[in-house]
Amino acid sequence: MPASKTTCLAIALLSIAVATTAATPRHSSKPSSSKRPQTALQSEVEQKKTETASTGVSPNLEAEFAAEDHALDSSRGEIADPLIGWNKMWYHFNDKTYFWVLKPVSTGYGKVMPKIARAGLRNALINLKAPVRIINCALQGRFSESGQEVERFGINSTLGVLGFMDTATTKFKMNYYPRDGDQTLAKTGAGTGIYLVWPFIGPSSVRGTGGWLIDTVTSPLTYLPGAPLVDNINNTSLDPGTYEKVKEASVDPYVAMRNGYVQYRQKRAGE
Amino acid sequence: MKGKLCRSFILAGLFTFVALAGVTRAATLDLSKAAGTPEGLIHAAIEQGLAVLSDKNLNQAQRREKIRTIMLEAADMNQMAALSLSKYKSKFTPEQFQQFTDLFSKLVFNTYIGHVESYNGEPVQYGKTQKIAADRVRVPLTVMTKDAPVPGEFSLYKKGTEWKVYDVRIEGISLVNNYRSQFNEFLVNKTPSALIDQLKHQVSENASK
Repeated sequence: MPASKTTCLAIALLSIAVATTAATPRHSSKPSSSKRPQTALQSEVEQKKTETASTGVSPNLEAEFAAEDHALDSSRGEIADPLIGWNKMWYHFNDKTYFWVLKPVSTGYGKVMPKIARAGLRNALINLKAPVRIINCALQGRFSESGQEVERFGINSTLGVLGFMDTATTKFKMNYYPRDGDQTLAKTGAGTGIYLVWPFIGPSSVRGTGGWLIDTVTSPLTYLPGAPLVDNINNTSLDPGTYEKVKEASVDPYVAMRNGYVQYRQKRAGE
Repeated sequence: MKGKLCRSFILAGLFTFVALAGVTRAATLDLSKAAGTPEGLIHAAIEQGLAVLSDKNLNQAQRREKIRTIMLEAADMNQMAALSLSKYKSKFTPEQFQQFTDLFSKLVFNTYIGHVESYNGEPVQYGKTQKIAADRVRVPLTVMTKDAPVPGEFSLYKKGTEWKVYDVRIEGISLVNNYRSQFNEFLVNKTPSALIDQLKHQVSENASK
């Protein structure tokens, strides 16, 4: 869904306001600690019947695993969330917007538009967003990737019939470099800042908001009335039920989304 | 952003179960042999998983039951549950922990099984196994979906002589880490039995869908 002009303005103002305070120190990875005692695992007996077995888990395993596995490091996936009340309000707003508007609209749209047309349209819109990737690759100093994105855009816009076919991938086996604004800001050393949820956009952070701004300004879709909305409806119709599944699998969907966002961005920032 | 994030979550589930489902055959044939190396377990899992998913002689219930049985064999659900609870595990009695582990497995399984069943033969590429510690490794692999390659990793540890999965990560999102953030938030001011009740409720809701 596109953000309305007011939202864009609000975000622009906010991101300027917080830009100076955004550079919070990033989590430094802990040095890996001593070798784990072998006895913890070796003494365990294979247990297949979980109903009858005792837990079979060493109390220290958690710390030992975490020391060398940053996914299990407790600071991984964590972010300061002082505006949790505000963020939850927008989380619920987005949730309702999904169920009451986006889902019925994209379901109806999916029924009238053949899948092949929707997949083609998705390709075309991804192709149109090439400037976002070209600029972010360049800003990150990845000039070769930036050049390849220019080439992809040329191939797909011509041989790929306005981008409806991803000829660069299918015929020329070219790679795709979806570099984004948040990565660009991360490269400058900017910290994530606090967690923020925006209406229509979803999970973000201070840095993520700045990144979103870069991506929005450089995206041609922003300047085509209705294009971001079509993009969102089209993508949702091609990926139905996903959001519901995430909710069903979660004990606390708000926390699940927040943690997922942060883990995903941490990984992307390290690329 | 939201869509991309959700897709990662779903793929995490798909990953887990496509792979773990795979061990169904391996288990009946020779799971212990496959589990002798981490790559062996994962490779066998994927290959065999595809075989189970494409076995037209199985009805849905049989297929799901096979996949479930094997998930419990290939992954160390006790370990995943313990890591997900983190420091709060000590608040659980052994009985509660067992009950929790069982419900946790069911929650994850019920949620993703439908997506696993819609798996459509997307090619899988394996990466080079990374050693984290003497008895822990990560096996990276990429599912080549039609949209884009989706990178993921299985984390395995050596339990006795066999390798077991203790975490799965897609696009950097660790399943264990994600659940841990939720359970920790929940258990800050609620009891283990409240968490068990909540899981029971969700599992029965999912099952009725």
